[in-house]
Amino acid sequence: MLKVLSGMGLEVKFPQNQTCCGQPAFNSGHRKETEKVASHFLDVFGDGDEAIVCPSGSCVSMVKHYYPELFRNDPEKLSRVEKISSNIYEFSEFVFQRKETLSLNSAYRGRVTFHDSCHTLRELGINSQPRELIKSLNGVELVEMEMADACCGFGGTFSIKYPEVSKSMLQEKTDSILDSGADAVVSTDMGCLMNIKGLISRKKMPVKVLHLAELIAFEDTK
Amino acid sequence: MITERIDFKKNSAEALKSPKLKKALVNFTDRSRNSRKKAISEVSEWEELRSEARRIKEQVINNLDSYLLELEESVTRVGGKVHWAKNAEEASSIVVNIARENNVRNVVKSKSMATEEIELNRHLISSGINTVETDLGEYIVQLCNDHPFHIITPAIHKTKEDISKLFSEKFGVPEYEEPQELTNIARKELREKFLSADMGISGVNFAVAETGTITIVENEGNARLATTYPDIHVAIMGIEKIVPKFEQLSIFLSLLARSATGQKSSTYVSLITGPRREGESDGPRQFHLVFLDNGRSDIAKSKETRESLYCIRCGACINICPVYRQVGGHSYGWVYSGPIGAVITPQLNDLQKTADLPFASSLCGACRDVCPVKIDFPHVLLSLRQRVVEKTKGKPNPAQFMEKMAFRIWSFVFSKPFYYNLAGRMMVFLQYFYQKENELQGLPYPFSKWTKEKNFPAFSKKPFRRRWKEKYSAKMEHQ
Amino acid sequence: MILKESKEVILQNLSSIATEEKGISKSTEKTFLNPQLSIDQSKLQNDFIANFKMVSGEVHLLEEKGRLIDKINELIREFDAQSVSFWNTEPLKSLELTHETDLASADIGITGADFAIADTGTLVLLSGPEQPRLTSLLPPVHIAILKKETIVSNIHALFAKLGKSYKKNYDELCTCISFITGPSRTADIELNLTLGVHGPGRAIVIIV
Repeated sequence: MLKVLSGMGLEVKFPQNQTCCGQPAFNSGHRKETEKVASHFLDVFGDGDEAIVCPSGSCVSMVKHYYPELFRNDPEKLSRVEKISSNIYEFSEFVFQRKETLSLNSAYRGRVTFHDSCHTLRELGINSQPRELIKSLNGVELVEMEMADACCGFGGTFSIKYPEVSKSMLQEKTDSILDSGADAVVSTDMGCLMNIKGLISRKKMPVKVLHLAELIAFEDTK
Repeated sequence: MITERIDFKKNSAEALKSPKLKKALVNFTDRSRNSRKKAISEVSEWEELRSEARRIKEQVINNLDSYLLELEESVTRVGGKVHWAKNAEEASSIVVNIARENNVRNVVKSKSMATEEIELNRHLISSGINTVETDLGEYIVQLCNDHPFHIITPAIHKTKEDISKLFSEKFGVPEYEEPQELTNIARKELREKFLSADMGISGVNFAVAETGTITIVENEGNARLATTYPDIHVAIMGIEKIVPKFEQLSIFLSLLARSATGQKSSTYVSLITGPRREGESDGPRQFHLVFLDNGRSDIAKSKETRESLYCIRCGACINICPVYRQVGGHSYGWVYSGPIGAVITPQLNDLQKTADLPFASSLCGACRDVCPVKIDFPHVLLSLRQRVVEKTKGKPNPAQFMEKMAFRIWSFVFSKPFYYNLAGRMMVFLQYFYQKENELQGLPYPFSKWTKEKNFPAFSKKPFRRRWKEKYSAKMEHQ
Repeated sequence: MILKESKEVILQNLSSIATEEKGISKSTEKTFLNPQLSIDQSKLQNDFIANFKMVSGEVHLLEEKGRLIDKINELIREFDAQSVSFWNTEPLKSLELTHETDLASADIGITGADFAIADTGTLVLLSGPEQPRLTSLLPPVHIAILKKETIVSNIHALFAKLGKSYKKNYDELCTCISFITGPSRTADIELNLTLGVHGPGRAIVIIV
């Protein structure tokens, strides 16, 4: 991500104190614990003057859609949430807006298939941007898998609470990935990628699992 | 009412074991998904219809008290009788009493989730009244003493071989293989039931407050028969089923069939206004409408989850749900399954006993996208999760206690960068024991739930923030 | 009495919804309707035919009224029907058909249709003293006589038309309005479509 963004002539900062947006606790119903971590997020990312770019659509939707609910009784934090929300972006969305400045040329050669992360797609409404970015890469062919927008079964703590159901969903996902004939699957959320990769590498399936940024900045390792 | 705790984990693990079930589910959900998609693509104003339907439902639920009174008045005006039931037992005994007062011996029922919810059949049968489900799917389910698998297609878990055998056993006919032959047998058996029935029971899809009209949507014609042939018609409706104006039905009817089955219209839609009038040769002589609360007015009071009552029971959320696709209807432990089940069941029953359900979702949000009244399922599920955590605060079970502790520690670590870094370093040390080709396997409980089937990525020895720091300070020196 | 108590309990529970949450007042109700009233009649007829056929319905077109009796007799012969039941309304009334009084044993039920909806292929039948509901329901074959000028474009137009004919005064609303879109069907056995499970297995429209 850093390579891609710097390559676009942008100055990238990494606040050393950042941890997490708090979504795991929020999605499990633990609001008080979420507030603690989310407050820390607000402290770290301050006033929202600078664009925040995130490799996971899920985290962006947490800040944009659920922080206002979390802090609805705290006007001071709410106003900070408003500011930050208007300047936080999922990676593909951010890069697509500035695609003319994209200078990197991916060394990746082959067919890739795209998995729509649920929150990137349905909370943020992003689906064409990552696909357009993939298509714009020389030597990379985008092949759609069946039900690209079906959940991979991650769902945060869902995958720990109901691992059997989660695995069954994931199995369908990796089947569609294999059936697509692609040699890599690309997505925009670290949660999905970790989940998908977990099974692909356990079963030693012949498919690479890449974040969109990794695909764009792919280097020939030889 | 639910008497025992619903164990979603156990139920779903059981369902996952059956390849036959999985095949049926994949076939069914694929077809439903595709036909719905095709049907709505033909309606250019689909989104406007959804918005308007949601607006109307919002208005209905916010003013439910006055709409119920208006509906009662309208139904009374056209010669019907309204009964108010605050819970399941009351609703059942109202129906049993109507049957007794009129010496009813045979009852035919058309499909209604509200009557499933109050277990009306059990009450009627135990009062000595013959009660037959007449929707083909429900009939099959009743014949095998089973429970409906889906709110629209109740017997989707039965193969035609199962049904063929069942009919042969029950009716002494040969084991027919063809679905059309099986259908013909059911027609013959059930037609006799209709002609000897003295009471018909139906649900209600929509009830119009201004006219007292109830609307019933179906494909088979059994609801038409049940509401026309017998002398008494009893309709049971959840109190949320109201539509204010007669003309507004067009919006809901446009949405319902397309969302449910991908049909442009269901085969039969009946708009019934009161009992038979003078000069008419058919239609029931008595019309009773039962208002069923059974927890709904409590849902209406909660601003966070009120929209659960907007549901028009189309089942689109169920058909699109990737979790339902794996585990099927029975895993949800009660009448309603899939996302709507995960949302409604805990609110109409004891929260402790149904605490698994709000968590039985990956929050992917596909249900919200297809819902004809745009229920924000993830949002409602999240509210219910919070409610579960708060309600179980005093007396958590061991797993809930563990989770609570884990998140306490997590929130402490993740709000203090120092401890966060320290924890990161600890992980790098600890993972040494589980590392295999740069990934982790065989982790201890509770992470074993992950690593049983999948690898977990290893923590980088040099975390990003350290690499960043080194690079950044190198740059600084360079400048 | 128990029942009265329940009514009070329910209403009281609901009345606690704060007034500020009651939202849009009833007077500002707007209803979204797209009746598409100005579509030409021959297109409506063609759409109706296409959609009714799509749901396994059958359609016969009659250009002249005079031949209706021939068409009906032809169908009666085709089904080898022993008994027929029909609505005692025009144009059926004057056709001199033999009426079957026991509907349950009739082989064919013949009705009129008060309206039809083009874009869903739906017949709309109003109940009344001369228009029993069971005629279109009990026999295995249902034949409906549809006047082409009663076809409307979509369901919104239908409700607009109903509203007009009742002059928005629904006190006179008939006891049952039946929408019929093809023959009785079910997909309850492994999603296989089968016809005639309860209602007629054949649904035939004669357009006059």
